[in-house]
Amino acid sequence: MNGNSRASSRGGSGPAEIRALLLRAVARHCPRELHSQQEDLVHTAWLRIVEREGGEDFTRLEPSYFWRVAFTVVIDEIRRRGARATQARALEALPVAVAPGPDLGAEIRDCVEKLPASRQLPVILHLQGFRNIEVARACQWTEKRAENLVYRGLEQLRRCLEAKGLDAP
Amino acid sequence: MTLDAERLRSEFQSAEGTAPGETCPAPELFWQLVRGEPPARQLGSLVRHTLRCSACGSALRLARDLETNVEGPVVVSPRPLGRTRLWLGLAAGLGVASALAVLVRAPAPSGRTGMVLERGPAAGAMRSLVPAGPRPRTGLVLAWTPFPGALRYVVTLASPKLEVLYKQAGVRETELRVPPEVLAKLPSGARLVWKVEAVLGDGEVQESPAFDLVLE
Repeated sequence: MNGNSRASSRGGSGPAEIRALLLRAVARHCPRELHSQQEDLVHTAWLRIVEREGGEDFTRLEPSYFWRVAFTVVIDEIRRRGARATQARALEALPVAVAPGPDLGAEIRDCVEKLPASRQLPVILHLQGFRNIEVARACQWTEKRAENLVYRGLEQLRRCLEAKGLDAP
Repeated sequence: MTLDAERLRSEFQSAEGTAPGETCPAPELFWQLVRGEPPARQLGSLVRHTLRCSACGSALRLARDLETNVEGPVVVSPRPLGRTRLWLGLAAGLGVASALAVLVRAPAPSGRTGMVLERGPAAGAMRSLVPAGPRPRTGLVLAWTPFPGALRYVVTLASPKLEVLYKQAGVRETELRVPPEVLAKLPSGARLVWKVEAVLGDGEVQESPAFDLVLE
């Protein structure tokens, strides 16, 4: 698909639609502590878009422009807030809540770190929610190759977790 | 204990983590990654960074979700993007139309009570000092707490639809008087949104939350 046909396929995406979709996406993927600020986060992103354009006519802009700027500013805010939270915790020396049992997320990451490079990338992308075809697109592989590497990587990951007593077959 | 595929993903994604000593990639790179357009030499380091940095993991998932939920692929615009464009614009004197920025040197005081509602993610940084309640359209002054190390500020006032009503760059105080003509045609009870960006000595910009304001 070339750029022109891509552009025409998205011709119906106006600011309102993009904003609504951004809101849903932020709701799904923002860190938990940001959930109460989802709408404000997107609102701030839009304010920054407007600011950059200085009141120019939005209709002349490609939808992709909105997407890209809005995405960027939302991520900036997520990072900024995360950094502030980390700093605040350090300054206040708050006791860290210790959950009973193993930190599964950390153990999974540890096992992924040990995967061979060829399987590590597809497994990380899989764990981040990518489907095989999306892994293939990101890595510029065939879907078959992506599927194979994800499958074998996950097998190896499970063996590592089993060895830690965290996953039974 | 058996970890099914969904639990594996969920536990992986919910793990908190940072990547000490690593600089987080530009968000633009995650956008490119989900579209299969990342520079080949950066792909590995980009993906591995999300293994350790939970914020960038969120960024990657957000980019993927946006890409897969739009009606058709997104076209990458050739327009130059990012803060550089904004700040070059401000430096060129485009500050009249739509935003306010301010520079401050004093440390930020703690928040006050009785102020207007703050909208936005940056509560705890600059805070509004505009009193709560409807504000007069003549003599409206936007005021905020200083940001440490700021040299000047950019202030933006917009309508609820985010149409920029007034923007002033290069503000050296921590308050700005809004020209009455900017507000003259707005209806009584109109809600406005405003924010401040502090420009630091190294060029970094710190943004306030968006603040609400109601006109008399």
